[in-house]
This record gives sequence, structure tokens and C-alpha cells, in this order.
Amino acid sequence: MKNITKIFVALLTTGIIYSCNNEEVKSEEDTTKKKTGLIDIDTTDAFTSDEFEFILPRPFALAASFEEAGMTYDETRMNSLENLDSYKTEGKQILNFGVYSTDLVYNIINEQPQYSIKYFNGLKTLADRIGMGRIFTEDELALKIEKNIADKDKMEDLLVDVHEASQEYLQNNQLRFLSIIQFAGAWTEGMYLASFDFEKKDQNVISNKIVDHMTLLNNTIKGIKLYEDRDEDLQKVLDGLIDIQSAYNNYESVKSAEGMPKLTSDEINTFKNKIHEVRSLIIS
Amino acid sequence: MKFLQIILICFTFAFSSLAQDSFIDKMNEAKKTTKEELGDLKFDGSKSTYFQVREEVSYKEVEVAIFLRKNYHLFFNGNPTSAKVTVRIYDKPANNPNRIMLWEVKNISGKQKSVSVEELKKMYAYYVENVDNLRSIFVDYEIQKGKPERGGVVMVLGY
Repeated sequence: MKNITKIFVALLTTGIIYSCNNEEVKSEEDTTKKKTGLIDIDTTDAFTSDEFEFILPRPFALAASFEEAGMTYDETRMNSLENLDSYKTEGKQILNFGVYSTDLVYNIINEQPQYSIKYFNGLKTLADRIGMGRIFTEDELALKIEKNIADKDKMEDLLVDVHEASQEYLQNNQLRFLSIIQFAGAWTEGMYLASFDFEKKDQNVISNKIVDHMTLLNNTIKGIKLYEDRDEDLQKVLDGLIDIQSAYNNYESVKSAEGMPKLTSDEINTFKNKIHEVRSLIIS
Repeated sequence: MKFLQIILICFTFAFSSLAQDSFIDKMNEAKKTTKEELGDLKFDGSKSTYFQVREEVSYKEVEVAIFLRKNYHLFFNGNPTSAKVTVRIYDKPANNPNRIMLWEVKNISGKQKSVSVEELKKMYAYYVENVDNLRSIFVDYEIQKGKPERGGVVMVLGY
């Protein structure tokens, strides 16, 4: 009997050592989370996917969907990097990680290397604060990005790696639910940047784009609602997103549409204003 | 005796962590292999769907917004699962009784399959006039009943 006990103790010790090595960084983050009581995540079944999920598009794909509608560059439209230090809660940090990801892509597609490097550094700072800093050290990703910052094509590939690494990080650390919050920030910023000069663009094209993007908004709302213990900041953003969804569903052109709705100029304008309101909530 | 029971529970817990980590490695490996299958296509995202085989048939659904790129190609890798999993692609979600099935693989276990949105639209054209209204597709995994075990399917998007 004593021998069996010894074997169990030995195996258990091995298991604990393995778990400790694997969870070293995680436990530090967990402690921080417990202290601050920010986003509470149910990880009991984190490795079984939900019955319904959706693929989160990358910021580059979001930007690409608006390129044909024409998206002019203006650096003052991006979220200022001066705001970076004001994001104290995890909710705000993750939301703005998404916002800055889109801003970085906005700089890259408009070939603005100086701003690209600034926004990339901002993104790295936020990643460190969220606990995802390691994604940039793997495979010397940060160095490769800095080296290729002016090369649009290479940067697109490297940002795929960043996106994948961050998704894998969240998945492997049983935090995959956080990726939807990151996406909410990226989506809102993408819509915000695309919304300028809506009135000067082909209204049919803009209408189609908005209708398309409502699918992403609906799924984002579903995803954020999964958090039962959302912090106040996140709740406000969720309310704002729900407000956009409700306004859209009540548009006459949407209610009367048999196929793809054709939004009127007024509806497009209301939509734009609501996007601006939610974006202010996120970056403030 | 109580001490032994506690140790046994702790041991089971530690062992299941090890098993979980090795399963994640298996899924990550499947994703890597599938990305290599893209060839000239550009990678645009992926979705790893994890499930537990149960004593009854279970379902998982993943929505893919297809309007973001001109012609997405979807690659599936069923290597991480030994359970029988049927993959079906529909034009609408599971709660819509009028949805149309566009593609099916009876058992993806241990296999890799792919399909393009263009092919899906060709199928869709048999049922509807304007295939451009297809803006999202719904990938359903039907997991057949079996002995309880972990499983997963990886889907990779290329364009």
C-alpha cells in the first residue's frame, strides 16, 4: 500500500511540476485579474466550442472590404496614441487593442511607414499590458515587422502572423472569449474610418457595405453577451452596439426589403452618427 | 484511504491537463498542415472547432462571412478526430427550416477536404436567382455518437 501511495505522490508531483511550468505566466495574470475583478470568464468548458461560432475577420480583410468604396487617409482620424495610458481596465485595453490594430492596417494600406511604426509600438505596449507581449517575441516577429514596415505586401503577411499568434494565445490560455472584444474594437474603428465622406461616395456601394457588415455586428453582439460579468465600460459599448443594431432593424428600407436592403441617405447618415458615438465610448 | 482518494483525484486532474495540452498541439499541427495546403492562395483566417464526443449526436455551427473577399476557399482538416463527423455547408443557420445544403462530406475524420465559394454558388444557383445575395455561409459539424472522447476539426480560409 505504501508503495502505491509513493507512486501516486511521485506522479502527482510530476503533474504539478508540469502544470506549474506551463502556467507560470498565466497564474501571475490570473492573480492580477482576481485583484482587479475585471472581466470574469467561465473557463470550465473553454475547450469545447460553443454550439454556434463565427470566424473573426482580420483587420486587413475588414479594410479590404471598404477599399473599393474608397477610404481616404487622414492621420487625425485615428485614435491618438496619447490615449494609450488612459486605458486602465482590461475591457478598455482589449477593445483598444482592436482599435489600434485597425489603425495600424489603415497606415499600412495608405503607405505611411512613420505612423505605421508608431502604431505598431503602441500595439506592442498594449499587448504587454494585456499579457500578450510574448506574441511579438516569438519568431522575432517584432523585428521582422520593424524591418518591413514600409512594405505593404510583407506587412500583410506579418500581420496575419500577429493575428494568428494573438488568437492562438487567447485560445491556448483559455481566454478565447476575449477575442470577440478585441474584434468589437477593430470592427468599430474600421467602420468609423470608412464612414468619412460617406455622402460623397456611391450610395448603393455604401449601402451594400453596411448591410454586409451587419452580419459581423450581430455576431459581435452575440459574442459579447456571453459575458455575464461585463465591466461597466464593456456594458456601455455593448449597449451602443445594440443601439446601432436596433436602429438598423427599424430602418424603413430594411423592414420593407425583400432581398438586399437599399439604405437611404438619411439612414446611412444616422448609421454613421451611431458608429461615431460608439467609437467615442471605446476610445475615451 | 481518504488520502489515497484525494491523490487519485489530483492525479486525474494533472493527467487531464497533460492530455488537453497534447490535444491542443494536435489541433495546432492540423492548422499548420492545412495552411500548407493553401498553395498560391493567401491565408485569411481559421477556426478550430473543439468538441466532446457524446452518447448522442451533437452539432456545432460556424458562420463564415464570405463578402470580405472575392472567392474564398475553405479547407477542412479532420485529422485530430477519430469520431465520425459529417460536414455540411448551408446558406442559412440551423434554426431556419428553409435553408439549402450546398456541400457535404460524410465523414471528415482523418481526411482533408476543400471547397471554394464559387463552387458553393454554382450549387446555390440551382435554387435561387441571385447568388450574390449569399453573404454568409454556415458550416455545420454533425458529431456522431460514440465513446466519450475529445475531438476537433480545423477550417482554414484562403483567397
